[in-house]
This record gives sequence, C-alpha cells and structure tokens, in this order.
Amino acid sequence: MRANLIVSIFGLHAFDDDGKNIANQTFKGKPEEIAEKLLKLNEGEPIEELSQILDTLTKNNINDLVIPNESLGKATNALSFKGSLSINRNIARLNSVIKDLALKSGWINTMEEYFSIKRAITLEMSRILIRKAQSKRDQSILQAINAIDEINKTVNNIVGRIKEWYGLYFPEINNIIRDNELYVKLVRDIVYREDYNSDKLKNLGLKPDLIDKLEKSANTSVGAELADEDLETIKKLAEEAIRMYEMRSELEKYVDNAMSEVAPNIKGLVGPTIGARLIALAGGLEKLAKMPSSTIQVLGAEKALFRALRFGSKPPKHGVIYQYIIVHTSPKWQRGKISRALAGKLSIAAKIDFFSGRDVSEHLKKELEQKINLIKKTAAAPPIKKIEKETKTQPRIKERPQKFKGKKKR
Amino acid sequence: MVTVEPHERFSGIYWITLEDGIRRLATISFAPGIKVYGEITVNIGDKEYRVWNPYRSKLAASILKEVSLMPIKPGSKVLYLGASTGTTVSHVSDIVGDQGIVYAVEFAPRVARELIEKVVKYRSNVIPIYQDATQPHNYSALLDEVDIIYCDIAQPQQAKPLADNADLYLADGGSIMLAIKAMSIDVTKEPSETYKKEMKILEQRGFNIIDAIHLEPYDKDHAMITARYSRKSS
Repeated sequence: MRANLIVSIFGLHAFDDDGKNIANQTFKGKPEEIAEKLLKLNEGEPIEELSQILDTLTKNNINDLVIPNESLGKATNALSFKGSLSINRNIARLNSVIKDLALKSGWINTMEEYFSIKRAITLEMSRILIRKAQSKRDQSILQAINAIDEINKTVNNIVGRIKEWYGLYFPEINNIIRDNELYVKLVRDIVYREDYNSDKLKNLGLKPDLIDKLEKSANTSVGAELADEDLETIKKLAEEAIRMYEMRSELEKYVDNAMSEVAPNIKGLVGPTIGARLIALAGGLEKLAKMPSSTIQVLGAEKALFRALRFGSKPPKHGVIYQYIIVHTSPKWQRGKISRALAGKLSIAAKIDFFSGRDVSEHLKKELEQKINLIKKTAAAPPIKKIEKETKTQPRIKERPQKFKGKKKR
Repeated sequence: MVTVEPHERFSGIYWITLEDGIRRLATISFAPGIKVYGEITVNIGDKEYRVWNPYRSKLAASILKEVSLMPIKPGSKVLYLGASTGTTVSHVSDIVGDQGIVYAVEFAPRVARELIEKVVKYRSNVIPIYQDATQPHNYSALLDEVDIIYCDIAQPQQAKPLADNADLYLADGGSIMLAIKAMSIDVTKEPSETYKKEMKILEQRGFNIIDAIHLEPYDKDHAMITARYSRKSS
C-alpha cells in the first residue's frame, strides 16, 4: 500500500493516492512549541509525532511512502522506517486540503483562527531562524576586528620604519606631516625632494600652509643624498603600507555592515568598532548577552582587574569602553560613574540584540544621555580628598611579592 | 486641496492629489499610523492613505507605466518571492485587505528581520516565510494555494524558481508578475540574452505572457512581465 505523507501547521497527515485522508497525528501545544517542531523537521530531525504516525501507517500495512521534501525523508530515515521512501514535490499541493480538514475535524473553529495560528507559528519560526543566521556572523565580526587590530600594529611598525629610512633623505618632513597615512602617501606619490612643488601637493589635497612649509624645507633640506634605487625601494614599502590602510578601511566597512545586522543596538550605542571589540572580548554575542554589566564595564582591562582582586590595588573603572568618547573626555572623577551607566545600557543592548533583535537603539541612547547629563550635574565638582585613609577591603594577599632585582645593595 | 479618487482600472488602488497638484498613487493603510519606508500619509475621512512611491516599488512603477493586467486586488492570496524589507509588500498588504493574504518569502537575515519588525508585526494579513525561494518544497507546511505569485528576487535566473513555486502553489489560471533585469528600454525589440532565456523558460513551463513593460524612468534596468499560468497535468 502506498501513502502520501505531508506536514502542516496542525501536524502530520497521510493521504492515499485518491486524496483520501487516512491518518493524522496532530501537534499539541502553543504556536511557539509547534514552530520548534516544524523547525526540527526542516532540519531533518525526527519528532515524537512523526514516529507515532509512522507506527500507525506500518500497522495499516503501508510500506511505501511518498514525501514532499528531503528533510522529511531524513527525519523518517532516522526513525528507521521499514518501508520505501520516494520524493514527489507535487504532493505539497495536498496542503490546500488541510484547511478544510482542520475545520471539519474541529482543530479550529473559523478560517480567521487558522490564519492567526499560522501567522504566529511562521513569525516564531522566522525569528528563531533569523536569530540563528545572525548569531553565526558574530564570529566573523570577532575575526574581522582582531584583523583590524593586527593590521594597525603591523602598519604602524612599517610606517615607523619608513619614517626612519625616508628621514635619512628628508628629515624635515617628519615634523611637518603628523598623519601617518598622509605621510606614506607623500612618500609613494612624490618621493624626490625636488618634486615637492605646489602643483603636485595641491593635487594630493594638502592645505596651503602645509604646502608652503613642505616646499621650503624640501629645497633647504639637510638630508643625505640617497640613490634612486634606495628611494624606489622606500616607495615600494610605502605602497605596501597604503595597501594595508586600504585593507583596514575595507575591514572597517565590513564590520560596520555586519554590526548593523548582528547587533544594531550595541552599534547604535557605541558605534561599530567599540561594539565589535566588546563582542570579540566576550567571545561572541551570546556570551556578551549573558554577561553582567559589571563584567562588560571592565572587558579589556582584565589585567588591572585581576591585579586588583589579588593584591588589593584599585580596581579598573573601564575596559574598552574607555574608548567611548564621552568616557575618556570626561573628568577623571566622573569616568567611573559614566562607565557604569554605559555598561548597564550596553548589557541591555546586547541582550536585546541576541534574544530579540528589535532595534531600540534610539531609545537606549536617549536614556543613556539623560543618565550622563545627571552624572555631569551631580558630580560636577571634583570630590574633596579625605585626609584619613578609608579602610579598604582586605585583599586576599597582603603583600605584593617582591621581584628579585639582582644584587641587594649594602 | 487634497483630493482622492479610485484608480480607473484596479480596485484597492487610489489616485491622490496633494497640495502641490501632483497626482500620486496611494493605498489605504491596513496598519494606520505605522510608516514603513518614510512614505507620505494623508488622512481623508476615517481612512489613512499611504502614498506609493514608484521609485521605491516596481509594482507602483508598473501601474504608472500602464501595465495591462495587475491581478492583485482586495481578497487576493499572493505569494511574494523576494519580499526584501517590505516596501512593496506593505502596499500589497494594503490592497488585499483583511480578506486577502500575503505570503512574504525572504532569505537574507538582515532584510528579513526588518521585514518582520516593520511590516509583518503590524499586519495580520502578512505571513512571513524565512526560506530560500528557490527551494519551494521546503515550505509546503506553511503555504496554501495562491492566486498570484509576485517575484522580485535579485538573481539572474528567476524564471525557474518562479515556475517551481507555481507548480506547487499557484492555482490553475492564476497570474504571475515578474520583475526582471532588462537593460534596454524596449524589451521586446532588443531583448538581452538573459531576458530571452528567461522568457523561453516561462513559456515552456506553461505561462502565457500577457505583457512586458520597461519601468523607465522609475527603474532604469528592470522590466515587469505579467503572465497567466495554466498548469500542465503531471
């Protein structure tokens, strides 16, 4: 005997070749639970209801099953169904019959109910799947932000080298051009001292006062003469550095995009870069979402934190969130308070990003601003230093172990 | 003086004339008070009209370009492939109203999220399907038969997935609308290679093409194909 097996939002249904309904196994529970079951079937994982309907069918001597998609086949195989399986996509059309079946058998009372249940289930399914798809991306953000940091280190090293090397030839430029990226651009595009003329510099978009200075110092430079071959080599090095800068800005764009997708609320609060660093330090969005805000506050300052815990020095006020402009531009005595407020909001943002994905960053930002304004008001003046030392919490180890510093002086 | 009149050919769609004297397309909001993409909204009587921007929606562009058949009307059941962030979906939802239904299929996480938060949440006639439109058999549990398939998936091959969806879900005699890449203005005179191939697939799979219009000036590189579907008995 042959039967067609299909899945609907109400359960699993078997029909014979004439379209007669021969067996049903209905889902019980809330839309959320049904969504989970349907997702399991989509992933090819077996569920209780499937094994029940297969039992029923086996009892009725049905050993030849037609199913609409591969994932249902996978799930059926996992239950070691004895009969044969074949896939016929067209039986998906049988689903149109289910509506009437649902009304007749009393699973639902009205068509409106049918659609509202269906909508609740599909909404939940979409949310779960989107969350899954998003959470995988946080690992890419983590890698990208680490790559940015590594490029920064490398490029700074290389630029330092270029400055020293090119400085032999044209030392004055080091004091005129402070911006590294601009510096290597000049080295790449101009190289020779005699080529520092106003036309070329204008084309590179420099300000008039810089152009004057550069021209004068290039003409009167005290640098050594280098062979063309030497200068060409420096130029090649500069090209390499610029490629790295380009790569860096590409990565930054990537992180920016990925952050709007994965963590719009965190991005809205502190911007993509700091947000990505937080995710990287926590080891993923899920971990960040499950952290208490006090931990988020000192992410990135682990060294100072553990020093504080072990030896009783002052605990850090902030980790990477120090890079947030309002934190590091505020006076010292307000920074701890602002960091605490910011970390609190960040922890809420991370939770919303991971668990729901709604973008409420505007609202969070407003709340944070109000908090910060209050702090700025109430802690406007620096605190008065107390002469008597307060009793500190007792550290676990009294003394910091003395490092052995060679011979003791007598 | 703001005035409104129904569209002369398609029900559920309106002409609205704003203070500046320009006639624009509009639909009656199914979720009053909720803006989807920063569109202009106007209250007339007890209805809120949403102005429909043809530069943002290929369907609105087709209507302005005098498409000969626009099957979406109040009560329609529409399968919408490539829902994106829901700009057009929201207007389709307005048109089909509380007797109709829109199945919105979208597979890119970021846009799907926006679709859910901005459109689906406020519209009880939109059912979101977060699945790959090229694998229609995978969402059979969530879908019933529909009258219309609207397809705007950003892929070079659209005809095949569209036909696959039609075979499973489109009623016999149902219609499709397909937004297709077409570089030249007159798609029928100098069709591109892709365009020719796609048309051929559609005809082989049982579609009778009714209309092909280019969406210039609203959209420079798309045409809208309208066709009727007669199912081959398999």
